[in-house]
Amino acid sequence: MDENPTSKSISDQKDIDRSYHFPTLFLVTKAAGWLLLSTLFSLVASIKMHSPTFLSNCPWVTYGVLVPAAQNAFLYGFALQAGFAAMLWMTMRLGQVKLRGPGFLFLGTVLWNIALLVGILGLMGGGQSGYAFLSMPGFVYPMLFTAYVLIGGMTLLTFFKRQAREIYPSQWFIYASLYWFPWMLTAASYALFASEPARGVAQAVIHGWYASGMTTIVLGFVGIALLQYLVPKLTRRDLHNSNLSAFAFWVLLLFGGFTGLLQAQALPAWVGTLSSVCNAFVAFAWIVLTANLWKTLQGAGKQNSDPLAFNLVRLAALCGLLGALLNFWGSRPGTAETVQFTLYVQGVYWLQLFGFVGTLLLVAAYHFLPRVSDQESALSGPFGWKSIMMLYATGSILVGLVYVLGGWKQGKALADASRSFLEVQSAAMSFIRISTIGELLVFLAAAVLAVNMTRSLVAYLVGYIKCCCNCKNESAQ
Amino acid sequence: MQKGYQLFFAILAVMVVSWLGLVVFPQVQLGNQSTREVKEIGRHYPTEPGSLVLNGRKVYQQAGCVSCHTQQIRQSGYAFDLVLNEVGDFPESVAAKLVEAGKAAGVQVTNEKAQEQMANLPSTFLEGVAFSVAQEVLQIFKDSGAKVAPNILPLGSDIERGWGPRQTVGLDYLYDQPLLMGQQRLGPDLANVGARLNDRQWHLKHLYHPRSVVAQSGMPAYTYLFDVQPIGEESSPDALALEGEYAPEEGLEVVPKPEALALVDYLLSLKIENPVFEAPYMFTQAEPGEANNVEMEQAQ
Repeated sequence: MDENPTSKSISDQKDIDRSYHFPTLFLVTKAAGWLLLSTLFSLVASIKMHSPTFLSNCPWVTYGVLVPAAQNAFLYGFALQAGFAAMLWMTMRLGQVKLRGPGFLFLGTVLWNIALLVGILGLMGGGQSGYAFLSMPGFVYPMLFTAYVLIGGMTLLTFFKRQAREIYPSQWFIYASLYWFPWMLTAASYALFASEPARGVAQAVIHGWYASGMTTIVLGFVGIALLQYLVPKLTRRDLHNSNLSAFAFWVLLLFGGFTGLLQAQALPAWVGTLSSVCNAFVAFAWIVLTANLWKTLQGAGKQNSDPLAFNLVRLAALCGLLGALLNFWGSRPGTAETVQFTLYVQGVYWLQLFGFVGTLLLVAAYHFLPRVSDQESALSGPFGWKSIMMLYATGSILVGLVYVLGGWKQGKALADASRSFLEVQSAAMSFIRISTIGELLVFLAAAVLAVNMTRSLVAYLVGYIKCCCNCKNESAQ
Repeated sequence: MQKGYQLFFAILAVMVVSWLGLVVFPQVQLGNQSTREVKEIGRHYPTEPGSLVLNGRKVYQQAGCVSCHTQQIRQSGYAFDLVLNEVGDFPESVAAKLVEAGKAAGVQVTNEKAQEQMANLPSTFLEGVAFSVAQEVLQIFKDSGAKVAPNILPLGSDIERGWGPRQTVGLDYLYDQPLLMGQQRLGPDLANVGARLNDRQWHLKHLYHPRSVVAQSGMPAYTYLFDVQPIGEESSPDALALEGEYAPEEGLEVVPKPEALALVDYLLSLKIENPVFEAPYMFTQAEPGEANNVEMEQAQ
C-alpha cells in the first residue's frame, strides 16, 4: 500500500489530513445520530412484539412503521454517511491528495440529512412506500440524489486529483460503490415511483435488484474496501495478493447485483434461479477474499498495533463471509422453501450490514478520526471507542445469529402444516425476545457514540470560533 | 487496471448489463400483462379494485402491515384425483381397467369394488396420485369408451393450512400498486384472507385488540383506528361487541374510524377464488356467503 509518503514531509501529510477533519467529523457525527435513532426504533419495535398494546394509540409508531424507519435510518443515515467519511479518508490517504470542494461536501451532507429527515418523517407520518430499502416517500429520492451528486462528486474529484497514481485494490471497490449507488437509486426510484411506474410483479424484481445492489455492492464494497485497507494497516504488512482481490472484485461486481431477488412463485422461474446461481458466485468470491486476507494475517498476531481493532476487523470479516455463505445456502433449492418468509432473512441482513459493514465503519472512524484531528481521540476511557465497538459488535452478531437460528426453526414449523400458526408464531417470538438483548446493546453503543461525537463536533466548532476571534483580534491590533 | 477511466468504463458496462437484465427486461416480460378471461368464473380476472378497497389498501400500506404479513401462497406440486364420469358401451372392459388402474396406483381394487364405482357415477376411483400415475391410468382408459377425468389438487403446507386453494401467480398482482407481497410471516398469509375469514366484526375486533379474538396472538393492537366514545341516545351500529377485559367502561363504546372500516374492506377483498392457466385446480363455485370460518379461533 503506497500510502506512507516517502516524498512528502510529515507536515504536508498533516496538512492533507487536516483538510478532512471537519467534513469527516460532521459526517460521522450525523451518522452516529442516525444510528441512535435507528436502534431506538428497532428497540421499540422489538418491545411491541413482547407487549402488543405498547404505544398502540399512535399511528407513527406501529411495528410496521418502526421497522422500515429503523432500516432506512440505518442504511441512508448511518451506513452511507459513515461510508462516505471512510471513503473520503481512504481516497485521501491512498491518493495523497487534499480534499477538493469541502464547501460542496458540507452542503451535500446538510442536504442529505434534510432529505433523510423529511423522508423518515414522511414514512412515519403515513407516506411509506411499501418497498423495503426504499420505504421513504418517492419525492425524497431526487433530493437524496442531488445531495449525493455533491458528496460523491467531491469524492470522485478528489480521486481524480490524486498524486499517487497507482490504484490500490480498496479504491476499485470504493469507486464501484460510488458509481453504482446513483445509477441504482435513479433507475429503481424512477421505475417504482414515476408517474407510470412498473406494474405487477415486475416491481418485485426491480426492488430486489435495488436491495441486493445496496447490500452486496454499495455497502458491501465499502466494507470490503475497508477490510483491504485496515488489515494491512493494522498488521503493517502488504496485502498478500492483489490479483486475488481483483478476481473477487470482478466476480462480486458481475454477480452481486443479481443476488437478492425474491424466490417467489409468482415471479418467472428464471428470477429465483438466477439469484441462486449468483449467490454461489458471490459466496465463492468471499471465500477468495477471506483466504487472501487470512494469508495477509498469518503470523501477524504479535505485530498488530491495536489488538482490539485487529480482532474486530477479523470478526467483521467473518460476519461478511458467514453472511455470503448463509445467503447462498438460504437460496438453494430445498433450503429456500424453508427459510423463505422467516427471520433467517433478517439474520443475514444483520450479519452483513450491522455485523460486517457497521463494525468496520466504527473501526474505521476509530482509526481515522484521531489522525485527521491530529490529537488523541476524545473518545477514550470507559465510555470511549472501545466500549462502543465492543457493545456494537456483540449486539449485532447476537441479533444476527439469533435471527438465523430462529428463522430456521420458524421455517421448519411453517413447513409442517400439522402445527398451528400460533405454534409457528411462538417459535419465532422466543427468538425475537432474545434478540432484544442484542438490540439493546447496539442501542447503548449508538447512544454513547452519538453523545461523544456531538461533544467532539461542538469542541471543534468552539475551537474554530475561538481561532477566528483570535485571528480577528490580532489583525485589529 | 491502473487508470481511473478504465475502471469507470468497466464498472459502467457491468451496471448497464445489470440494469438491462433486472429493470428493463422484467418490464418487457411482465409489464404488459393484462386481465384474462377465466372460463370457470365466466369473466375476466382480476378485476380492478374499487375506491373503498383502494382506501383500505392505503391504510394497510401506511400501517406497514407488509412488514409481518405476506400475500403469496406457495405450492410444492400437484396430486390428482381420477374420476370416472361415464362408463360407455363396454362395462366389463371398464371394470377390468379399474382393477388395472388400481394396480398401477398400488391400490387393491376388486371386481366388486369396480362394479360399485361404476354404479355410483361420477366416482372418484383414485385419490391423490402422482402425475406419472395419473398419466398411466389415463392411458389405460384410452379407447375404453369410458370418460375419465383428472382433478388437479395443489399441494404444499400453505395449501394444507387452508391459506388458499392454489399458489399465487403474477396475474393476481396485476392491480397491486405498490406491490405488497411481503417477505416475512410474523403473521399468517393474507392472500386469501377475505375468502377464509369473511366476518367483518371479527376483523374489526382483531384490529382493535387481537387478543380479544385470538387469545395468544402476538399481533400489536391498532387502537388508533378506533374511537372510544360515550354512548349516545342509541348505540352506534358499528360499535364493537367486545367482552370481558377488552370491553370499554360502562357508558362507552368502541367505534371504528373510517380508516378501520376501509382496512377491513380491503382485507375482505383479498381472495384467490378461481384457477388460472398457470395454477389450475379442481374448481367448485362457492355458494354466496360461504366461507371457511372454522379456523377463526386459531388463525388471526
